[in-house]
Amino acid sequence: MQTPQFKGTHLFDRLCWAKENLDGVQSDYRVVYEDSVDECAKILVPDPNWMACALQGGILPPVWVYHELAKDEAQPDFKKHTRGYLLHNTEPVEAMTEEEAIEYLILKDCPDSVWKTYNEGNRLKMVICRKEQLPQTREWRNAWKISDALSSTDLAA
Amino acid sequence: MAGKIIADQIEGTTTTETVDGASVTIPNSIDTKYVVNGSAKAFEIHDSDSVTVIESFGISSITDGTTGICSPVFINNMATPEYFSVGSTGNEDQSIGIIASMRDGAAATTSTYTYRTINSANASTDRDNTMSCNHGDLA
Repeated sequence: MQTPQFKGTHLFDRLCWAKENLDGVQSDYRVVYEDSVDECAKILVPDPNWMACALQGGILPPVWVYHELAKDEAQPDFKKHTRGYLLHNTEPVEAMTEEEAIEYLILKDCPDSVWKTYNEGNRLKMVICRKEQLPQTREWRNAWKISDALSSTDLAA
Repeated sequence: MAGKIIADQIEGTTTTETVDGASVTIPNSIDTKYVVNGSAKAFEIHDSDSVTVIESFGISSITDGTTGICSPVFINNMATPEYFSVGSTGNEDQSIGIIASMRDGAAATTSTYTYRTINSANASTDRDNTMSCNHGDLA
C-alpha cells in the first residue's frame, strides 16, 4: 500500500491512517538495558503498530525531532511544547528494515545516558536480543541483569 | 470514498424536560474542539507477564522496568507533562490487580509515564491484561 504524502499532516492523523490501513507487526527483538547499577535490567518492547509504521515509511518523523523536543523539555522554565510543529511538518522518514527500526527506537525511547555510552564502561549497559533469549519465566524478574559474559565483540559478531 | 467534514459545532435535537414543575430546555450542542480535545490521544493494552503489546494507539514502545512496572512511550508527544492517564489491570482468572501509581518513581514527561501494578497484598505484580489510556493536548 502506498503511503499518502504526509509532510505537513498532523502526526496524530498519520497514526490514524496507519491504524486503519496497516497490520501490526510483532517484533521478536527486545532491547535490554541498565540505566542504574542499583536496579535490574529493563526490557524495551517495540509496539507492533509503531513497527508497522516504521516498516511502511513516510509516517514517522525523524528521530532528531524527538531529541529537539527533549531538549526543550529539559529547560528549567519549560511549561509547554512550542515546537510541536517539528513532529508534523518535518519530512517523514523513509521505510526502515526491522533492524533499522530498532536502532531508531533505541535513539528515541532509551535514555541517552544509556545508548551514548552503552559499551564504554567495564560492562555493557545495553544489548539487543530476541525474545526467546530472555528468561522464559519472570521468576526473579527483579534480579535480571545483563550477563557479564557478553562483550561488545559478541554484539559485533 | 474518503471524505472530510469541517464543523465547529455538533448539534442534536434540543429537548425539553420538566424540572420541579417548570419546563426546561436542555441544550444539545457541543463545539467540536471539545470533542477533539477530549478524545484519548494514546492507549495501550499489554500482557505484563510476557511483555507483549496486545493493542495500542500512539505508542512506540513499552519498557518493562521490573515486576509490575512499565513505561509506555508516546509517538506524538503530549504538549505538557500534565496530561491525564488512567489504567486498569487484571487476569482472566480474576486475580486482583490494581494500578497503584500512575507516576511511579518519577514525574511524567511529555514522552513517557511509568505506572505500577499491585496485587491484593500491595505487592508489585504482573497481570495478563494491563492497560492505560491518556487524555490531554498533543504537542
